Amino acid sequence: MTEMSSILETDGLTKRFGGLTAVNDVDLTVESGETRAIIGPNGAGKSTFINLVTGLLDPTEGSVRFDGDDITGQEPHEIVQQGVSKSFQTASIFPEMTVQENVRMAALAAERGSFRFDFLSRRDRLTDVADVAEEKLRAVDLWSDRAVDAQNLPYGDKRRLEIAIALASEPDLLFMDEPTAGMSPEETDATVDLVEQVQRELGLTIVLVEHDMEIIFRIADRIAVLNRGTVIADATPDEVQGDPDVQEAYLGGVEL
Amino acid sequence: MVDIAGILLTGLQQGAIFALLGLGLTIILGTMEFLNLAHGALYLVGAYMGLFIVREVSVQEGLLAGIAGDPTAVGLGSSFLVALILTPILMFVIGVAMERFVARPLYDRTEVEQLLLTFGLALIIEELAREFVGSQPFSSYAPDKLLGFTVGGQADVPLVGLYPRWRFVVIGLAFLLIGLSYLIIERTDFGLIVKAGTRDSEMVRMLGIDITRSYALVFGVGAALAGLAGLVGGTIIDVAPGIGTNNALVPAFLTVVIGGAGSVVGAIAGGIILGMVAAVFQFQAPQWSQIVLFGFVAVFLLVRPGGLFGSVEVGE
Amino acid sequence: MSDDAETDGGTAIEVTPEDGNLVDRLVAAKDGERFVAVAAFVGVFAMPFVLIDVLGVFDTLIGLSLGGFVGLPTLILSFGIVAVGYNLLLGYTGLLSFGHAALFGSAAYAAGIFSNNVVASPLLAVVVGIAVATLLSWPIGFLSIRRSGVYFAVLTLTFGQMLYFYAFGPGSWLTNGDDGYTPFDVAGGPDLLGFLAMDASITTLFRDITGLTLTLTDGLDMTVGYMLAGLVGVLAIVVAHRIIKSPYGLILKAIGQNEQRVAFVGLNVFRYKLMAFILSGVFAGAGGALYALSKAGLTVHPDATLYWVVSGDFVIITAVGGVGSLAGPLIGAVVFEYIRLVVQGITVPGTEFQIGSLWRLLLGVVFVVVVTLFPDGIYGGLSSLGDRLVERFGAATDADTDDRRPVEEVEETGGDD
Repeated sequence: MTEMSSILETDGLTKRFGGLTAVNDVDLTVESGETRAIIGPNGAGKSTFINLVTGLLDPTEGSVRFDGDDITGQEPHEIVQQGVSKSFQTASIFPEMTVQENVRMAALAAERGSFRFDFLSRRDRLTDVADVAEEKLRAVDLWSDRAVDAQNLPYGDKRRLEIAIALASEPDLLFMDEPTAGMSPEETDATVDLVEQVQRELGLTIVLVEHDMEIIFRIADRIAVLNRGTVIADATPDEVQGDPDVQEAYLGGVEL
Repeated sequence: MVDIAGILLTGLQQGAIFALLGLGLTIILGTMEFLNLAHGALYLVGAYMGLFIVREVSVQEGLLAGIAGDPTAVGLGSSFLVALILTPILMFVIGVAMERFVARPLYDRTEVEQLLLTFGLALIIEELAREFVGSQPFSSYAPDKLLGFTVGGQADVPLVGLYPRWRFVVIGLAFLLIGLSYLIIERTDFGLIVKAGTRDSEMVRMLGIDITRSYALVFGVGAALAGLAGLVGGTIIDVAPGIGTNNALVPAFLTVVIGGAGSVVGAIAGGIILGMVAAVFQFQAPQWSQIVLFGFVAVFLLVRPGGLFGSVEVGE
Repeated sequence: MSDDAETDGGTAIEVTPEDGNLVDRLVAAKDGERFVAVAAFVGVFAMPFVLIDVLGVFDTLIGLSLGGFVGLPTLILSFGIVAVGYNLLLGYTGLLSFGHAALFGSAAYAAGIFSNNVVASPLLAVVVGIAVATLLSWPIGFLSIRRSGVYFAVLTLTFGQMLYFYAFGPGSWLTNGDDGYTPFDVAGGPDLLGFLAMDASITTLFRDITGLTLTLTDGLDMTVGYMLAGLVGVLAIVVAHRIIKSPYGLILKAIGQNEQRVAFVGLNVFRYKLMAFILSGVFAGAGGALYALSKAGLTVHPDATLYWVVSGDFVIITAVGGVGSLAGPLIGAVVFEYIRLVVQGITVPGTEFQIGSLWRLLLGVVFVVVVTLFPDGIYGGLSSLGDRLVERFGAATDADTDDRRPVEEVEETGGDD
């Protein structure tokens, strides 16, 4: 039973760069529909871990299973096609394309797969793509800006566009790498509301990397704490809060 | 076989020039991550500079025609020495100017734009040469006597037979220059910056070292090296506008590819390897030599894109 | 979906065809396929007139020989078609290839060799040229795309040079090496469809059919050969436009702007890059075959077709004309070939000064100036000027109201054709 509801499982995941071990023997599970947080001081290996799972890096050891299938070592686009999506830490958008085109890119891939020979078919006839894009843009409240070039958006809007793009891939599992970094308090609240709403409506599983503890405690079901590549705690927010190892790791850092 | 020694010597001589070219290119590439397609043009300028300083040839075409003289290329030893000293100094100045007016505005531009613009610059320089000097090739200006020694003609070398004396001079000269450059890079502060830059140019910038001066220096040295390569090369091959790209730019890039972008040792090793491979095929199967040479580099690029010693991830 | 199914593009300011004035509607229509086809047709077949006759007027008026010669438009088309395809690779996908001469040249030789050894049919020769270039672009692209940036460029250059030296040396049993190859070496020139002589012009045909003599200017009296080239050209433009309006147009553009993100929305970037390369090969093949046709009875030489300088020419044409647009490369081809072939012969009136061999220098300067000041090329510059004019004279309003039904596809003009 636990096998079936675990949407993501890593087993002994390890990544070494020469002499440096960035991720060390990480066993992590994510249950379908939950909001999982990964926290840790800078350099703890959070980003490396995400890059391993999303295919940007190949692990030195260990494996990753998504929805029961082994995705270890697969290419990023293959993993995305299976239902994993990621919103980047810095807004990774297409600057010289409109907001609408940005989101349509993701919708294109979700609707049509990783590659097609359709270089002679007119893309303005793809209504499903347009519909998905519209839906996501409305969800992040960027629909009225759809004709604006992405590079002309204010930073907070760029982050929201980033999320819209990630959502337009219609994922089952969404990684969010510091989604509220650089946002004002109002924008942060709006983003968190969005994340909660999206999860409710779409039944998404979310894995969140964050530094902002308030957010974590507000929406996370379980938290994994990474320090120097190893998981030092993996439990509910309350349990993690009281964990002495975690407090030590954060000494001089973020207060819980 | 007698040929092998001859091949080795020729390979060494060509390789030394390639190494000089690659060295200049790689330090610019490594320190500033600047892709300079005009590097071959600097070689060209150096070659013509040598030509004019030696000044035994007359210009028959182009806008500078009117300097009367014989279209023969007989150099006095002393004028070559003068060229040897003047050329790097002048090329250094040109390099610094190039850094200031060409490279600096382009540091923040995309890679493609750097390539395009330096390519355009190379084109302009080559065409200017063609306009002012003419496209007729000038035969090499190797001197007959240097510092009292006879360096012209052929010597009877054991194992090889008759071999042009001047090529020995070229080998010696080129390796002397390479050695000097290596020492400078290993032993001086300037060299430290180059090395640090080739490891991590971001870091060097952040450390607040007067980077603009360093960049100018690096470019100047790189240009001087290219110019010297041109000066030396001009004593062996005919000097014509096309040599900038064919004989210089392409080998320079191939050398850097083999040796690894940003690596000084790599440029030296890569140049020699390239020179050897070229020499082997020039002797054995001249028709195929270029094809195999390019194929060799293609394989290298595909299998070991970082080159033998490369550390800078350019274009990845 | 919009009522007007033809309008599949729009300006940055949203306009439904029902509102907005004529200016807006024209702008909205200019992305439509029919418009592009018609414009291409008109442009291609009016070009000889403009270049030869209109500019030739200056010859008699002020003694400045600005007019083009009769073979000029064909050459412009040959290179222009290559550039249109090359633009897909450089302007959209952001891949700088220095090896397209290999594709162009091999198509030219293939077309020529086919014509001399199998059947001297111009149509089939074009097909063969395209086929050979496309087939060749597959392995070259496959290997070169494994690396990016300058290494990609160097790889394409090396493959191109390998082919060049092969044609020059060991392959000269096939290509005639340095002596050059004569394509369509048939008595009286090749015949289109078996009966139309390629060098027959409109006036000769007219005379053959009706017995009457028609007087036309040099520019209007097109040969069958040019008409074939022109049709290929129009077809190429329409196909390129289609590609740009397909999902590929968006995907390739995205790859050029943020490759990693494209992978992370789930698209196979390598395959799309390879497709861009192969598609550019198709166009290079068409251009190469047309080039060989234009050299019927003359010679095709490796230096003019396979040498890396030719690859550089394609780069210059595309960059000067305007990367990322459909019309840009064509404008670039006109400018390039005009400077190369016409400006050379110009003598400044009243003086003895001939531009002559300065043309390459002039080209280099134009290239550097354009790329520095107008990164979007000549077309980009014209296009932003056009945008500003439209803003002044168009009546469209902002796209802020939600209760408007949106145009199907809202895209930014100015470089996105």
